Amino acid sequence: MYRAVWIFSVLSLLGGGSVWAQLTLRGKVVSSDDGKAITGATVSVGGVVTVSGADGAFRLVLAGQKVVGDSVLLKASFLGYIGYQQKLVFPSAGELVVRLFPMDNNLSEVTVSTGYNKVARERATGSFVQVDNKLLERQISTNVIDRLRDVVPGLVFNRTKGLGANELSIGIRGQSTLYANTQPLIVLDNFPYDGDISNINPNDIESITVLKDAAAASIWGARSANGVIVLTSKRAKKNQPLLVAGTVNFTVGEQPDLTRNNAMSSSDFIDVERLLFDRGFYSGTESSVVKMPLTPAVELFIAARDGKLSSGELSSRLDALKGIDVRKEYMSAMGNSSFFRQYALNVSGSSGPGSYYLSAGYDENRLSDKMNSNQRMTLNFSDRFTFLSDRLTVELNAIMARSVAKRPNDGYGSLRMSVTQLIYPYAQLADGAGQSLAVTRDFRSGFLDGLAGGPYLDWRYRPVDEIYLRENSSETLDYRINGTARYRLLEGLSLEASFQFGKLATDISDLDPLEGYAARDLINRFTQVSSTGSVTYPVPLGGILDKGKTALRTLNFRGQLNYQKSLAGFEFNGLAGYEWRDLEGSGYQTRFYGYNPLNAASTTVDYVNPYPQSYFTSVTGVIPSVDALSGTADRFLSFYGNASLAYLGKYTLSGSVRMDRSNLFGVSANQKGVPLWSVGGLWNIAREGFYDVPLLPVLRARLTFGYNGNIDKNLSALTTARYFNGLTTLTRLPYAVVLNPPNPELRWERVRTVNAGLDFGFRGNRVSGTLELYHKTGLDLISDIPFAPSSGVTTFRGNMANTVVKGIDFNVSTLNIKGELEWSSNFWLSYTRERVTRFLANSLSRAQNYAQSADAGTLPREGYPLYGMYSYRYAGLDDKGNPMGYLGGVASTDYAAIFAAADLDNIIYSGSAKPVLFGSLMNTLRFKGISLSANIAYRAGYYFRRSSVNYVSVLAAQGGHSDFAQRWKVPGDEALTDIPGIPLTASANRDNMYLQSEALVERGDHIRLQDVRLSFDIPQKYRLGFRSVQLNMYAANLGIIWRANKKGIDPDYQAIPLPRSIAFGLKLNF
Amino acid sequence: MKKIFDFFVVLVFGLVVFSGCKKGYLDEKPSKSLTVPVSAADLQALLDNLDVMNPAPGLQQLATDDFLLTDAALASLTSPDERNAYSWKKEVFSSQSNSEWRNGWQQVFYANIVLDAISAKTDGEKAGLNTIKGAALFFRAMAYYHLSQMFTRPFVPASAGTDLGLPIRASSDVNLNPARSSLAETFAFMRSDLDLAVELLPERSDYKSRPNKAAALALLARISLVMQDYERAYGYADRSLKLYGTLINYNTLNSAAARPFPAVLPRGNDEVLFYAAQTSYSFMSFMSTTVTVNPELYNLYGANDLRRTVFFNATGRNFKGNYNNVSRLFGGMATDEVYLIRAECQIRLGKVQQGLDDLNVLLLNRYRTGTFVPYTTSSVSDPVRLILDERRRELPFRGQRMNDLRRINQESNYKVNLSRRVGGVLYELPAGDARYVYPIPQEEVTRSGMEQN
Repeated sequence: MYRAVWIFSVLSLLGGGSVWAQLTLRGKVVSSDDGKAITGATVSVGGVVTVSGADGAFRLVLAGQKVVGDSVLLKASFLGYIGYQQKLVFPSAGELVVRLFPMDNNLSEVTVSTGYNKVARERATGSFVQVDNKLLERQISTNVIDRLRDVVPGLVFNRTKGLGANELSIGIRGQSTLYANTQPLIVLDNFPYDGDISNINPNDIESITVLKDAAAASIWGARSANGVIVLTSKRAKKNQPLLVAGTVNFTVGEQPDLTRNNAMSSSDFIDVERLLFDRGFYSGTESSVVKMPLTPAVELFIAARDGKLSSGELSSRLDALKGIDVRKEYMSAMGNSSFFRQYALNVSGSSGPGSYYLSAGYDENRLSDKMNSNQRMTLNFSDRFTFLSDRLTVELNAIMARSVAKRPNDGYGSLRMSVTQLIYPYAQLADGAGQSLAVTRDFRSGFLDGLAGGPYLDWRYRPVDEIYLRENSSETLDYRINGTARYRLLEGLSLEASFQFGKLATDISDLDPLEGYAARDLINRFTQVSSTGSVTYPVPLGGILDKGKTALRTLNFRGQLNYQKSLAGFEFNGLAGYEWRDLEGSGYQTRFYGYNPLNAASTTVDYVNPYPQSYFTSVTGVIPSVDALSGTADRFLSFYGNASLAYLGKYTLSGSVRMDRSNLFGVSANQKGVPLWSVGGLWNIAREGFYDVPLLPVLRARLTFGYNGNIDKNLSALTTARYFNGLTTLTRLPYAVVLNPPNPELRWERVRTVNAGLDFGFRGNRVSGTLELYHKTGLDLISDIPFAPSSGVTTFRGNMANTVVKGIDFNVSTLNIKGELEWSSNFWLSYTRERVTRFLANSLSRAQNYAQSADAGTLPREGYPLYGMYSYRYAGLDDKGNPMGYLGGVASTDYAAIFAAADLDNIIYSGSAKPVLFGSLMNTLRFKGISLSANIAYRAGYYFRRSSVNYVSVLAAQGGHSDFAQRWKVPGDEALTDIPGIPLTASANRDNMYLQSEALVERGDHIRLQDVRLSFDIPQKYRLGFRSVQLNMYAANLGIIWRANKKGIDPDYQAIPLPRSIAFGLKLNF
Repeated sequence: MKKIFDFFVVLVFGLVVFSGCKKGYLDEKPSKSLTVPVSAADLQALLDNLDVMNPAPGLQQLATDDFLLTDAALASLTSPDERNAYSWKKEVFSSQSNSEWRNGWQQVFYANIVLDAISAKTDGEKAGLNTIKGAALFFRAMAYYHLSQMFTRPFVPASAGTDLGLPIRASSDVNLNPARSSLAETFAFMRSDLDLAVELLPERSDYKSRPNKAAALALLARISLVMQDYERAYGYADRSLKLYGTLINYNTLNSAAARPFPAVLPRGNDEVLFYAAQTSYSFMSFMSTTVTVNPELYNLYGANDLRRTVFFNATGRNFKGNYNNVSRLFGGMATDEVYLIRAECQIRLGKVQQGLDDLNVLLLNRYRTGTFVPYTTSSVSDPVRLILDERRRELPFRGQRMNDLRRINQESNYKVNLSRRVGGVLYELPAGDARYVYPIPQEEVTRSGMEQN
């Protein structure tokens, strides 16, 4: 054989051009799994390319290029199949059979959805991340968005305290806006979803695609700057047999540990009360004509002072109080562990021209605050029919969710002594026998004692009883009806019309029955006792029922023209459309007094005349009215287009453009609206003739550029004012508040994004991944700048800033061990560097604001991150326990002067207050149907500020931080502690010297064991006839593995950690 | 057949697509409670914002000699600024901002929005908006007056042309940053606003929170008195009283009541011309308990003077005579003050008997029936002293004492040097001291570069 080749070669050399052969290569492309022919596959040798025909056959003529004996590389590729490469030596015998292997859906998905169309991954120029069903179902949660936690490169759940973050606050590739919406757009089944995401049954979602760059997201125009999350519902496939799937999950969650809330101990609190009492702090309250409440300890001090209590009795009673911890009281009497139950069932299949998917879900969640619960029922129905020999496709889909949230328990934070005073930490909520106890509230207990036997209702407050008496619920009914009709006019050209009608209505009902404190208190306050002793009740005896309703009606319509054409190796995909979107919100709230639940009757009250209040008749009050009405309207009209042109599967060019107009800014601003557009290119390097790395069959490079938009619904180019009905004012006249001064220069925010990506995949998918680099420039960002009060406003909001976010998203999946025991890993890393590049008010912001900002919110500074950690230099304590800063380089306690002299050069900038680097590592082990996976998440490169003692609060008897116990007490302590001693008079400046100093700034870096999942697929013989049976166990929020700070603080939660939870689930398929 | 069907599909599709393109579709307001204030109702609603338009300064009250607090009472006050004001600290503001400063300028801003909206209208439309325009001018002048009493030097006629006043803001454009005018210019601006307001305002207003002609004249009289322009102050006070001069006879009040005066809003308390409430501070909530009045003030009242029992509780230590009947102290204008202005101006202009006659009218309504002996030129040795003491007796805790101190400290015969002990330390505030002028809040200086006092 070698010999023959050699002879051929020599002959061809000797023969010059004369022995050039017309070599033809014939073959057939088939799918490896079913052996069926594949039409349209690209087959190439060197630069010669062809496409397989109807029967999968191809023919390549290598005219004048290859000679017998040459070794060539044949490549074949097709959408959804792994690229194929084979070395051949001419002439090859007979017909080649090229077997293409379907891609494994786990690792390299076929298409990604933008909400307007599906793009083949191989031709997708933009930055898409797809979370497939397997990954989605790995987690057990009520909320589908939760399941994106720590699995999507570039997507982070913001947890940093003080940044307005909540558990569902998401950032995709940093923040490119200041005050406009920061949350990504959520799209459900091709239309933006404006309802509450928790109304979606996660078991109905097939996959989620996250659109991160301009090419991926700019089709969504004015709402796409924060990224887009596209949810795709499950649908039946054509010619699919009947499938029934059921899921049952139970999740048990720990009770939040309130004792870790960093609050001062009962003992310290009482000591402070003693100190304040001796200073005469309570003298005003004690003689208050409105009978302001005093804590039990202060009442004891008064009794002892007045000789009604011996000093021995006083100290033993105080000791008893010091032993009570209201947090523990709350946890045992008003809290419990959470318990979530989830049931879901779906049926899908097809018959003839139609296919269907039906599902039902039921969730019942008991929350950790006792008596609070959530309940959700969902129904989903979708049908697809094809007519006119597949030329017309009609899809109909209806989704209904009903959820009921019961919240009779306002939570620990709602325990108060009065509107302005928190509960005292030694409040006892229940006695040893579990009997609910009264705590001091609103009035001095002596005053209430004196009322006994009078015309008043019992005026005591028993917090534990309240949660059983109050009936608070909100019931949400959310339904959406989608319809799509697609009509194929010509080959490749189709018209598509879709609509969605949706309504989200929430009924709020809050009944404080006559037995509850709120009703008794209000009735008592208004009780009128005449000089003759006759009693009237202006607030009638009965419950107080608040009713309200909010409704949001959505109407979407989209008309779209799709065109697809393949010709001579080119493949064109294009769409153009027009969309309108109309949201109308309405709401009302009203109150019924004297409500009697037995006959649903209520009584009218006098809202107009003031009544003397029973606790001090010189104070008059008007019966509170809560009546209110609201109405909102959001309207958008948009044109859009999107096209891609691919050549031979090697090169793809894409582009999109969108123009939005809305009613939000006022007409003139809309006219100035700029179109948002993108362009992108993809180079499939592995398909090139020169590419000769069989080990790495997937290698693609991508580059995109474009603009996304963002809006701030609250702004207008004109002076705007908000109306109030004035029911609570002394005149009862309607009045208006100026919201923003005129700003004729107002423009839409834009974000310009450049994204470069590289996709790679090694043979057999042993290693595959994506590396992306991006550069996002936020332009004309809307920002508040502090304004001089003499202008009439103290802040002004306008297009004031630009930002740049640079970053890297990298993920790699590896199959470490293959075989019966399989071990795979998925690692991802995101690096995000945010910088403010322009901020008009830079010179107006004082250093002092920056030191405060890490707690208070965004304060832009050119050249620095949006959220930076700034602090004052700290010189420790002086010998009187006062915190010291530096004034002119010298330790000083002249706080006003230190703050006045603070500038951006002498305050400390530690770094970003948001994680700069984050990601996770997930390892999965599989063995015979048993699968064990664990996700370890990490966040790094940021700083947070610990909390500590605030003496303004301590000395106002409002309690304080547990650091109080470690404070400076006697001279010499300054060597041992940084925590200031009790000042003679509270000063906010003195507090801030310490609270905003470097001493409390800590590194936030940490590694967390996010979750562990164990699942077991029951072997066939034990399945009792089911197609598959899976048992699983999922444990979440397992805690921190490593942290940079030495204080043992969880940087993301700081005080009360997120409770751990464990879930057990069962999945059945028949 | 297929062609026709295709045509039909395209037609229906096109119709549906463009059905959304109604004219004005995008003009809908995003929120129904949002408005671009242009209509008379909108502009009136802005001026009816009680929280913005009707507060008067409150903090300075603590610096006057009408209070005398124990150390414990002082410690119970919640804002450090209150303690600073009481002990006459030079840096009275513990933070960068001050609500009286912010609020005063916010009033100017609201008034300017209304005035700008009116000036953009046609002449025909303007005619129907005279009341609103007059009210806006009144509010703007009132705000300037309040700001000047707190943040500029006392008006000294000889130096007002060079003393620093306030920036003149006659437009709602927040981007303008005018420099401080002279004090004379500032006062001229107030007077020109008010002169026009007097022309435009109605004689009566339905709500006491809305100004009327008599209130504007009363404010002009007050401002002219501060300027020591007695001639004009007399003229304005006289015109105001001729429009409305009702006095309450204190014999009709229940002096035993915890709050003897009827509520001003919407239209109670017959003496009140215009409602304003002093900016809320914690000392106001403690007025009936720990925050005690200066015995020197209480001792000014004679045994038959009903104000002794109407204004104060039985111990004489606590004030309860708030004209507002709510916890926030009254800071507006009432006819009693206008009588006092007219009386003082006449006395200072040499018409002593006429001045005393005005005072007698007022005091007849203040003394127990049948006990008051009217003053005559022969019974009064120093009628100016008498009127100044009477002002102190009649207007306690209404925000007037500080303004009076700023004015009379310029007169060697009547000036007052204040002193008090706090925590064992003696504090003094001599007449004419720089601490009678509060510093411009730091946030203003930082952001606009305004010249500090």
